[in-house]
Amino acid sequence: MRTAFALIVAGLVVLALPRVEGCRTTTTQQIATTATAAVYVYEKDDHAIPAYVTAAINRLNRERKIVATLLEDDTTNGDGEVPTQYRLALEAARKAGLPAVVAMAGGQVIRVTPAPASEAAVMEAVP
Amino acid sequence: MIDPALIDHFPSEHDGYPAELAAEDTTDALRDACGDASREFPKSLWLEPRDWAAKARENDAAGSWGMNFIDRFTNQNPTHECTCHSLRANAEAARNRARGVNYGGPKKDFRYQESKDFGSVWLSPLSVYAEANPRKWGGANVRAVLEIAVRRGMLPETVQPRDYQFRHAIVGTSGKGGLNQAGGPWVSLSRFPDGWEETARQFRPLEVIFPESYEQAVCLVLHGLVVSVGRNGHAVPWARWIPDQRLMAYPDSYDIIRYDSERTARSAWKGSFAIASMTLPDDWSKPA
Repeated sequence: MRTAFALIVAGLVVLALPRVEGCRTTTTQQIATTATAAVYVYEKDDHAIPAYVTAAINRLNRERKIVATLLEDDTTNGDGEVPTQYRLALEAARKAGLPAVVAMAGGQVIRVTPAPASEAAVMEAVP
Repeated sequence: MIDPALIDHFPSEHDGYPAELAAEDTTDALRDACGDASREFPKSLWLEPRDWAAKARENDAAGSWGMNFIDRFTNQNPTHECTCHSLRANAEAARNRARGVNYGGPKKDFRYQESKDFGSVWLSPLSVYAEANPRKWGGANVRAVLEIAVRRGMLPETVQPRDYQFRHAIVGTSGKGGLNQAGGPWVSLSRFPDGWEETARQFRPLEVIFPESYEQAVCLVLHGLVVSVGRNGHAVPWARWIPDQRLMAYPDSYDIIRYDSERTARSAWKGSFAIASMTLPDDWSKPA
């Protein structure tokens, strides 16, 4: 009985953790698992944006109705700072290695997927 | 088949890009004008010419041409603002590419609902031209308008797809304009609304790439960037490459898509540029 209870508690803890692929995370609070935003972060000097990424990001905007965007690693706002909306995503993507798709919900990173290799992989990177 | 009348169409008189100004638009001059925003052609964007047609087909299928990220025409007629209309297409495409929305390209007398839904911002060519040539007539070279845009940005137009509550905006052109562009009287720089710099700096090119060959220019277009060029008295933004006829397609600042032949393109890439990234907002719904 005690073992079963421990397993259930452990399972709940695992479910509460954000799903992160390809990088470590220190986020442990309970957060939503359905993305409200996604960003493909890249460094143009190292990678061209594959056409399938552009197609997938467009589909995420139109079909999933989330804010799906592309971010060049060096992008700033008009004040020369990393745009507020991208601060956490950029940090997570850099940790994972660029390029990467970062899925967000409620202002939190819920999944990071380095270098998705197809349009389907980009879509799957955003739960 | 593309109507031959739409290929290599040049104005009988220059409409903003006279030869004496064009002569100043060398790659080195543009690079100097952009300062810290200047970027070399990234090796990651190189494509061997034998792969161009396949990449073009891929872009057709994915909707990843620069043309796909342009959601409106502008109309400069009869002004000399062409370099600034080409600049605005380049800047808006770069911003819309970052926003991740394929509009499908501009259509005459048509406004996409998506422009409103996805927060497209329409930038005023006149907001740059008014400083580049305060005398109104005579045009401006690419170097001058690019330097201004990088240094202090562009103002939004008074006509927008959504009410963003911009504190500062001016008309888009002192020419004809249209459904998606505010045309109106000339606005001199001294008549810009007080504090306009605060809004303009939110819309600046951050990274600008200068191709050093015709082939590099094609590669940039194949990667979804827009390449602004000046040639034969008129400046235009190349936004798609058509492999079977080897044409560069561009949204001309007269409510129409036109094309440059390979011969014209090979003579025009010098003094061209592609905006790789723009300043982006803290919140897409509040661009400034």
